[in-house]
Order: sequence, then C-alpha cells, then structure tokens
Amino acid sequence: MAESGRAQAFTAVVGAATRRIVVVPLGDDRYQVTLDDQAPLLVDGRRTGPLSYSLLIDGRAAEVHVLARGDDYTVASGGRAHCLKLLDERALRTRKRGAGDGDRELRAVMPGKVVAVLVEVGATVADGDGLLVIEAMKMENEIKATRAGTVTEIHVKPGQAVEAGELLAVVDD
Amino acid sequence: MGTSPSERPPFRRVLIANRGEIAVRVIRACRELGVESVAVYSDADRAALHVRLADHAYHIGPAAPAESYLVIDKVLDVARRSGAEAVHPGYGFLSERAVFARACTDAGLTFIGPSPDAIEAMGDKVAARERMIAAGVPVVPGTAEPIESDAEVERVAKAVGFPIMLKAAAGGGGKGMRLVTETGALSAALRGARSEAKAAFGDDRVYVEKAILRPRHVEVQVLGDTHGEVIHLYERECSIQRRHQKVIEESPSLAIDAATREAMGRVAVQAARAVDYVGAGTIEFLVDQDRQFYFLEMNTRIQVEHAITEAVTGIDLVRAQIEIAAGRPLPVRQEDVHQRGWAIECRIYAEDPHNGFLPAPGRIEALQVPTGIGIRDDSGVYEGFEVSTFYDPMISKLIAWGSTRDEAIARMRRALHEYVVVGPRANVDFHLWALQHPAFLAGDVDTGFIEREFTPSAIAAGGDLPLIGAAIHAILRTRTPATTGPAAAQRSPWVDAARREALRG
Repeated sequence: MAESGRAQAFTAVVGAATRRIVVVPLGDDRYQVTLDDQAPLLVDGRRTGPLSYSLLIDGRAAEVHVLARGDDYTVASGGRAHCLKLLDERALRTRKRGAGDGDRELRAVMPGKVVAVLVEVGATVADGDGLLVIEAMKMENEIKATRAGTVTEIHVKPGQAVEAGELLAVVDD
Repeated sequence: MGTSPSERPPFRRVLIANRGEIAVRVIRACRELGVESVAVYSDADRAALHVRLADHAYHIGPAAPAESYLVIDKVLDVARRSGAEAVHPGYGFLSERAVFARACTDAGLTFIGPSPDAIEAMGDKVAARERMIAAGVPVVPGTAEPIESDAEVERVAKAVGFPIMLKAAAGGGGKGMRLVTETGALSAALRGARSEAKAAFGDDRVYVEKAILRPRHVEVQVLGDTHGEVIHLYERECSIQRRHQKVIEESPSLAIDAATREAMGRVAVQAARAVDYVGAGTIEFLVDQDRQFYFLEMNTRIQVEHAITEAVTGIDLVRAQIEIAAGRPLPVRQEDVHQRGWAIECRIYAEDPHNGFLPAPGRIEALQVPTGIGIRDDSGVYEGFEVSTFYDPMISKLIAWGSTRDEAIARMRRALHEYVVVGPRANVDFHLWALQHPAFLAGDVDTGFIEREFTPSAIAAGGDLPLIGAAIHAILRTRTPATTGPAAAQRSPWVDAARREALRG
C-alpha cells in the first residue's frame, strides 16, 4: 500500500540512548531503512492489522505490533514490550529544551483516591522523590518527581478522588 | 465419569455472580452441561465477554463492586427475575461470604459451593486454625487466639522464637501481615499490622506464628460431595508471588516428594472432612526447606489456578462443582485420580513490571492470543475491551501442558513469545524472564523469589526491529489515505484505526 516517497528521518529515544533512523519508502511495502551509520537494510513491511506488521529483512521474518500516542511508541514483539520516543525533524525542532528532563506537571495515570500528600509547596525535591500517594485498584501508588526542582503547585488533598489525567502537582526548576 | 450429552442437565438455569474470566469459565461449563447461564453486569461491563457469551444478562448497578457485584440483594433479585435455580459465586466478590451462601439458600436457590457453616469455619483464620489442630492437621507453631494486648504479643513472640509472623485475624491477600526478625522491631511491626488490618477488615486483632523462612506455597485441591465423600486432586505449587499474590503456578510441585505428596493429600482430605466440605476447595500449605508442611488456610471456592489441576488430572472442576451442587456423586474415586504430565499457569496481568507491578489498565488496542498444542488461554477480555480500574487487572490465564516439566516450560515460553497485548502494559515479558531463570528451571523457588531475584533491568528490551517497526508505522499513520478505488475500501479498517490514533495522539 505504501507508495514510494521521500526519505524521512527520525530520532529515536530508547531509554538513555538516542538513535537516528532514516526510512525511504520504495513502494510495494518495501522500505530502505538506515539505522545510525549502519549499512542500509531492505525491509519488506506488510501491514497485517491496524497496529500489526510482518517484517521480512534479508529472509528473516518478524512480527511487530505498534501503538503510537503522540511521540510515544510501544512496540510489542516476541512477548516483549519496547517503549520508545520517535521524533521526526519537526517534532525535534519544537521539542522544548528545558533544564530538567522529566515532566514539570505530574498527572494521575488512572482514577483513584489521594491517600497522602508527602510534600508541601516550596519543598525542594530530587528526581524520584515521593510527592503523594494515590490508591487505585486497591493498591497504593507513590507518585514520584520525575525531575529535580521545587514543588510550586499541589492541586489535591488527602481523601480527594482524582480522574485519570488530572493535574496533581507541579515541579519547577 | 460425568454426564453424557443425553443426560438431564443438573440445573435448568444458573446465575453467575461474578465477571471476567471466571464468569466466562462458568458459562462455558454451563453450556457444556446444557445449563442456561445468567450473567450479571455493572455499568462498566455491559460489553464484557461474560455478558456476550451468556444466555441471559442483567444489569446490577454502577461500576464500583460495592454497588453492584457485592450487593447480595441485587444478585438475588436477578436470580428471582431470571428464574435461576442455582448461583455460582466464582472467586473473589461474594464467593467466601457465608452470609451470601445463606441468603441464597434462604431464597430457595442452590449455592454452588460449601455450606455457610463451612465457609464461616474456614473464613476466620483463628477459628480455622483451632479446627485444624483438633482435626490433627499440622499448623505453624503460634497462638490459636487473636491477641489484643501488645505485651501478650511480645510474650508469645519470645516463646515461639524469632523470626515470627504477625497476621491479621480476619486477613487475606497479605494485608495486615508483618515478618519480624528480632524483638527490637516488634512494636513498630505490630502497630503497622494492626492499623492495616483495621483499615482493611475493621478488625485489628492479630495472631503470632513462627515464620517459615523461604517457604514454598503448595496447595491441595479437594472435592467433596453431598454424600460425605471427599477426595483430593493433588497439589499446585504457587510459590512465585508478587505483593503476596500468585502469578505463576504449576502442578505437580517439585517442592515435595511422593511420600509428602501422599501425606498432604491425606491431610487435606482430613481438613475438608472436619468442616463437612462440599464442592471444590483448596487447602493451602506452607512447605519448609525440610519438606515439613503446615496448614495455612482453606479457600472455600474455586481458585484462579484451578486449570492446572484440570490439565494434569483431566477432571473439569467447574463442571464437578455444578454437578455436586445438584446432588450428584463425585465424578471419580480417589484411586482413579492421577497426575499426568505437567502444567504451568502464567497469569497475564495488565500491570507494569518496571513500576512495582502496579496495575496498568487501559483499552486493549491489539490482542493476539497464542494457541497450538498444549496451550489454553482462559480470558475475560477481547480486542477493543477496556481493562477497567474498578476490577482485578487480569487479562487472562495462560496454561501450558506438557508430558514433562521441560516440555511444559518450552510450550509456555513459545506461547508467551506469541502473546501480543497492546494498549495496557502487560507482564508477558516478566513471565518470559521467570521461565528462563535458573532457579525456576531447577524448581528451586520460594515465595520470596520475585522480590529477591527480579529487577526491571532484567527485562529491558532492545534490538533494531522495534525501531524499524515504529518508524514504518510512523510513516503510515501520518499518510493521507487514498480516497477512491477498491484499494482504498480494502484498507479502510486500519486507516481508520491509524486516524483514531493520530487524533488521540
């Protein structure tokens, strides 16, 4: 289904590593893929479902299932889950360059109830410090700072119910 | 053994007071028996698999279990309206509530399980322990009575000798449980156990027992009928646990030898007889490094991990439950129960091994379930279904059978390799890690295995393939689809999906 087209370059962030990947669609489900400075690969990538691909690379067969949410990609393959960020050139340009790598805003990942707030506004926290405790699905989950900084906002109180995505706290530089 | 297809069904209609995979499991047994099934569902479960597969389905309230699946009156009202003759409680929810079993009986319904008295006798850990001691069942040394005063706890702890375990009298699921290795740590641990027990069960009484270090969790399946017969169906090893909850089980167990196996089976039957047990039940034991075994508790219901017993004994436990409840005799005699081959179960959960195994619910965007020789997948979900935050985040139970343990492990690894869950984070990779761990391969595991051996970095994924797949997907998801011609019509489902995704992104 893929028509041939121009080369597209991506920067992939996998854990601490950054990799460069250039893909040239050749048409007929074929792609030339160049990873970092390796020799280009000829990839036969046939879509087998909304999120599924059968890949043939030099006679080797593999299946991958890819879910993308914004720049975040989850790839399931061989019983393993791979999480990575994939940024095209435009995304790279617009990506904010801040001091901290983690998120400023901490949001609830699932609905739950706030059990405890462990810090106060003004507190200095390190990356990984516990900020508050949320109970969801009968389990207590500590919400941790993902960057070092100062707690500038706390939006919840113990006992309060929170929805998924709700802003809990803000850590600024 | 069992009924032939021409035999009269044990009941006309059975209500299943549960959801998820166990409701599906019971519905399947009902259909095989020619029994009509009645499902109940909350707001969150209108489109759940058990509703889709049942013969009848009734709404019972909001998503929160306390307002739906746990409300006895609502369940009984559906039973009355639907014309059900019997109620299968599954596991969890109302399954071990004597008051529910009694309410069913009072409403003229058959409760598919033991008597309310048996549930009650085994439900209070302290009472159960006394009962078991009286029946000659070995228990871990400690107190039979719940202890109120802190001073008394200290006295008993010293008498039993450290290390000791503090346990909530009304406990379960690891709540209100503390290991104490020395006198100095006792008072803090006691405070913690009491407050946790109070919060979870409204009862802060604890009891003290000798801690078994590196214990193995081995349980014995029993079946009793209404004619006074009780048999056991051998053991399941459930030592691989996280958060005091089982995640991998196998049968048989490498923790015990033939003599211990026979002794445990005998004792399990003794324990079940002591409470005139009817139906399927499980006697849980701790086994220490010297193969001494101690009664832990009895689960008066079908267990999550029952399928591995079915795989090695060939006996359909859920079907047996229903037939027993209808007054039929046990499907087999003790001497005809044999363990054949080896079975392993991996519980596939929507949870994140990188984040303390915390639940990671969400919509299942893609699901590919393994099949093939020796593989069984008992699931309550499907592609497109939302794993809700309201309930247990189990996606399915994957069961592998092999003629030997090695074969069962190889099949399980093969099946895990095929298993695809996209959307919620699932623990498939954790299982792959566990099933190649030298200690697991040697059968040398205990309940501390995960805590001691597992680090998230052990399942760090790598390789170029995911990158290549992601990049190709990135190109296709942003490409505007062709709007004319048959090719466009053909590819519409995935184009739609990609569009949905792009919009959400």
